[in-house]
Amino acid sequence: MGLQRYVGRRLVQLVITYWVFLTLLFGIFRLAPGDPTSMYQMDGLSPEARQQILERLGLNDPLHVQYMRFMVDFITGNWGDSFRYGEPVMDIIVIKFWNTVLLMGPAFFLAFAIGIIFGAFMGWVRGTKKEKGGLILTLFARSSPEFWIGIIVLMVFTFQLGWFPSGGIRAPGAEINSFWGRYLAWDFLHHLALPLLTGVIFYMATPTLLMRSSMISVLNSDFVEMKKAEGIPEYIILYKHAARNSILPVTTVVAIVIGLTIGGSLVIETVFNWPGMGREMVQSVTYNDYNVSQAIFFLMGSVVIFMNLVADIAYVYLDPRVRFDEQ
Amino acid sequence: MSFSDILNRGGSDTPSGVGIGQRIREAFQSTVDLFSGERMGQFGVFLLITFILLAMTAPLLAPYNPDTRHEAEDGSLLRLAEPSGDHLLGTNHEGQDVLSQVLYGTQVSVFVGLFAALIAVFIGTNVGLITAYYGGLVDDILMRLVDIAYGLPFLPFVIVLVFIFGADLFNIVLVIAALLWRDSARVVRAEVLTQKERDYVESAEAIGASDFRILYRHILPNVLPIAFLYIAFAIAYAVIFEASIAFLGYGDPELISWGKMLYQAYTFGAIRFAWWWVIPPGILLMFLVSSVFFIGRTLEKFTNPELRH
Amino acid sequence: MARQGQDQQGVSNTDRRKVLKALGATGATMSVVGCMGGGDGGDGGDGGDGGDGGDGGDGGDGGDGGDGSDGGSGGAGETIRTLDYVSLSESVHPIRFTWGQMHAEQLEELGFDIEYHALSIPDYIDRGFNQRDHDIYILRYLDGFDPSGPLYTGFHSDSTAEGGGNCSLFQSDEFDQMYQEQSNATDPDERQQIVYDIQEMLMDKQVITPVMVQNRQMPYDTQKVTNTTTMLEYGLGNIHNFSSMEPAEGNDSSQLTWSLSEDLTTLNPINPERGRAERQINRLVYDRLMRISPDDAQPVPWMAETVDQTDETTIDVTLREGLQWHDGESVTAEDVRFTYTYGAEVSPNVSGIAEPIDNIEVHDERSLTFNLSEPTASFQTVAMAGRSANIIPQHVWEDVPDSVDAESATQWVNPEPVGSGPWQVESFTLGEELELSRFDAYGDAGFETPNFETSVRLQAPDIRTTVRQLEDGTVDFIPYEIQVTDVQRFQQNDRYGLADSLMTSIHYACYNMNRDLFADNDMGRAVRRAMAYAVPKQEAIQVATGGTAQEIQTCFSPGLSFWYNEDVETFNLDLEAARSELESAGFTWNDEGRIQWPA
Repeated sequence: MGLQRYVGRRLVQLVITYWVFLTLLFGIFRLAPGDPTSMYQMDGLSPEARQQILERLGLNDPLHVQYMRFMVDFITGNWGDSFRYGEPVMDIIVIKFWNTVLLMGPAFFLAFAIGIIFGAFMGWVRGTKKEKGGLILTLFARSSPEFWIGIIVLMVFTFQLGWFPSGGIRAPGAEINSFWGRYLAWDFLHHLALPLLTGVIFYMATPTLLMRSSMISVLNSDFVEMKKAEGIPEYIILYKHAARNSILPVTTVVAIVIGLTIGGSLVIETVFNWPGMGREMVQSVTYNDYNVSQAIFFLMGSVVIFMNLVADIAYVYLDPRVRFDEQ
Repeated sequence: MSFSDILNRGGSDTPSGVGIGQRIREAFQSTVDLFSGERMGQFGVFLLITFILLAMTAPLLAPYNPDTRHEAEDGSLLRLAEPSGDHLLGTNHEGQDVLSQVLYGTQVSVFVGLFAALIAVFIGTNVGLITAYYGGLVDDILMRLVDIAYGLPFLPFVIVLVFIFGADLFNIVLVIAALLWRDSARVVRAEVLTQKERDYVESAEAIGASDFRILYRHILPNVLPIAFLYIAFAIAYAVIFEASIAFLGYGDPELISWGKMLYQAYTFGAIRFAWWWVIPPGILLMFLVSSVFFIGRTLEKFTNPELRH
Repeated sequence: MARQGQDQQGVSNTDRRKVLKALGATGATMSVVGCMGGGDGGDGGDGGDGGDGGDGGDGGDGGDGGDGSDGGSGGAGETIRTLDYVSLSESVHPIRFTWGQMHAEQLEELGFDIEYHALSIPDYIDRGFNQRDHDIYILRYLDGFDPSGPLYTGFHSDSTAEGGGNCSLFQSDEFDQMYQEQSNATDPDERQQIVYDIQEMLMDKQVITPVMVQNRQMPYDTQKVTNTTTMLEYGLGNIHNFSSMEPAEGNDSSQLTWSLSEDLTTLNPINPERGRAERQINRLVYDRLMRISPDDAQPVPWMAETVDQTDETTIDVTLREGLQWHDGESVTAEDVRFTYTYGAEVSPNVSGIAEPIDNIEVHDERSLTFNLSEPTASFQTVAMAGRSANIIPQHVWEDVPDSVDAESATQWVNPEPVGSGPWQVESFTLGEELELSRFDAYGDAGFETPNFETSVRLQAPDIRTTVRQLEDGTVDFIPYEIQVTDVQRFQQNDRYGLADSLMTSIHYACYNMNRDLFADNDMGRAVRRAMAYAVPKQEAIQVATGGTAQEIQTCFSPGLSFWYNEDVETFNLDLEAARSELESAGFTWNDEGRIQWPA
């Protein structure tokens, strides 16, 4: 089977996966207790007014009608209005989306960059006390939930040293004039530092450990022994041969770490009051704002599904040993 | 000799060789062998056993009922008291003893970790065995299911499910297990695919052994090391996820867990002035999770001999 | 009538429950504690006890003795099933969570088996207001400055319909009759007597067990502002405070800044999906014919110069001179008429308060007459000074929704609100901030105008952040309750002032009177009274609120002093009294101290 046919098959699977995913999405939010009016029922919303709202939102229609409407709307990109804000979901999500991307994106890249360097170093100094210490530190970092790392970071850098603000994305009342004005500001970076640090500490563990073991197996190979025998300086072997060859396996965990990053955004954004998608997701679930929760969930799931697809194809492409028909 | 070789000594290639009791004894002995000389692994086992003992004896060790609200001498509630002789780790916002709460919190983490992991790996191993062995339609359907499980953003999904089905400890365990099985399923399946080609399977088939017998008597012991490894990882993830759920305010409201303690401390702003309420649950959480990672590393060395050097 | 509606509307929700049950989800929750209850359990769902058949929804009229005693005698001598105690999770509402838990502990002590459900908001609302799937349900609810609202919402048989606030499912012709009488009694003293009688009746039966009224503590920075005005229910969020506050010495800022964690989602004053956050802004931007006085909680003329009740169903109103809309047009009697007639058509909230209006006659620019279809004692408080009585400009709204991009008038975003209140909207960024500026022309009508030129409301992610913003000087005050630990810290710090703000809504427990144990008969009365004796009110106030609440014995806040009946029977923690109530109804205790049905 050729690569093209493999990709084709994988795409058909993708469609099925999406269909099941969307159906699940529809199902779980309809199963949630209460409805979008719940939040207002104790605030003087009369039973009649409530029925009018349910009618307007189409929530009194039979489930299969709602399902069909949901599928059509979702595929055509019509994600509806937020019950809570009364504005289109798109408008609400777009800012939160960028807020999240600008936090988790850098966290992700820094985690890989630092992880690879740190892992390569540990592999290089294998068997020494340094390696052991590094390993134990890495394992502890990996063992600490994001919120615990976040709390420590807050205790140290905000409440002890007072270097950084404890949360939020910018100082209250700050003027914002444009999209770039939002993010290309010292104030933004100042607020970004701690959540970013928290993310990097947690996510770098996986690439570090993988890079380390990958380094060790490359360094133990005959190939490196030969180079050593040829009298090539160690640092050149490290950089030119060992490290390069070790990076390939590390790329295979990109999809996994992205999955972690997305889940982690919920926690990190909550600890640092970061107005991103993760926190919005937690809130919209609490408020039964289905349209918003669905859309965010859909975006998060899409990233994971898409990254898995890319990872699979890249893996097959990069590693000729994998036979397509085994998949 | 790899872990699986030790485990299958005399078993795999001669199907009806040694009795099962003998095999278990040997497996136990080989596990002990495995950890000898592995300081990190030993440390992990020591930590994990300590936590399990703590969980079992928490009611005996805790100086107070964790729900009791203590009062100061003037009759007012003893809120946020610093550590003292009466309260070694101080009190929280409702005057409850932090040490007692931390000890009781061990129960939740250990319970969720062990049960969610066992259920997840039990499901995952079986799915892996069955799909790999039978292939075809069964394989297709179950593996699509695994793909979909991989497509779901984990923590958000867990939170949504817990929110819908109720924040009950059993629901939390089930929901975590319902998503975690995918990891072990995928890995076990891959392992079974390679085992299937081995001679011992063919010879078992040749003498007319039933599918069930081949799967569970012959193939299973060879994938157990990987299953064990994934139990270790699954414990770690389950503990982290339970704590995260509780920290986001979706935990079981009737139980004291470390995640919930941190959640309360965080929402009450205690991380600014009540370190005694914040540090203990966090540290213990970190140690519990790292204990299984340490164990996992030792197991990993034997399932993946390349890591030895 | 109401019951029929409930059945029809219940369909989609019940279906959902069925799906859940089929998945075994609710079953799992139930069975955990279900095993303690003894032999019943079984079908999981409602925990129905033998004879009752389970579904709390159609247990017949509460008063129907046959059904109730059937349920009772069906399980004669058996232990009472595990009771569902439905509350909110600690994260959502720590005060309610805590006192409910303390009550549940005492009930256990008394011999009941309790399962304490601490739920998320939608789940909590759905169980109590829609599914009615509770034995005991606790609320902070029944707010308002007039007794009609709370009485109707909490106790009228109409409010037992799905979504209604009568979570006791109390259905009594006697009550409905008395309610109508007080509603028609335009003489205050006569009305007061009826309202007193109603309270005695409700409290004798313990249809609900009132527990406490919170006295919310709202902090302000004394180095930033002085001359604050607080009042019942609104605290520092009241309109008078926004005018009376002045910069403190050394504060040369002309901006008043505050922050709240509640989401401000819409500036549309007639949208029914509003919470406290929106109402607070509406109070500042839109004006009303009358306002509730901070002194005695009674309505006083506001936009109206005079309000004359000429007979039981006729009210003459004359507007002040010089009233203006924020866009410069003048406010006319025609705008007032428009508000009520248009609102009644498009907004369920306005139609609610406009219901008693038969017609409105406009005499000239400034005077008009409300003709009511029947005497309505609450009209001035609710329909002229109440939360839905915001007067809106006809020239802006008459073509809404046709002229704007909105599905309906209530869904219109109302991007540039035009009101006639003391503050006008400068800018609004959803989820971030709202900027208001002083409306100087407000003074033309003889009103006091605010001392600050602008006012900014910051959207904070949570209460903790608002406190931090107060402490680091970002904001000047917080018109909302803060946590007990913060209250105690501020009490010890001279820099911060704390304003009292007694609420009108009360904390209370209600009992599902459609269920056997709590039926509206002698046995049910005994059970409810016994449970009332198990609420540790004083201790709960200390633990849950740090003492910032008042114990109550009746269904009104003591802030409504004119309506609050001090002579009702009192219930405080007394397990002995609780036991004798139960004994008198024939309940017994088994060897393990669990309560058994009367033989």
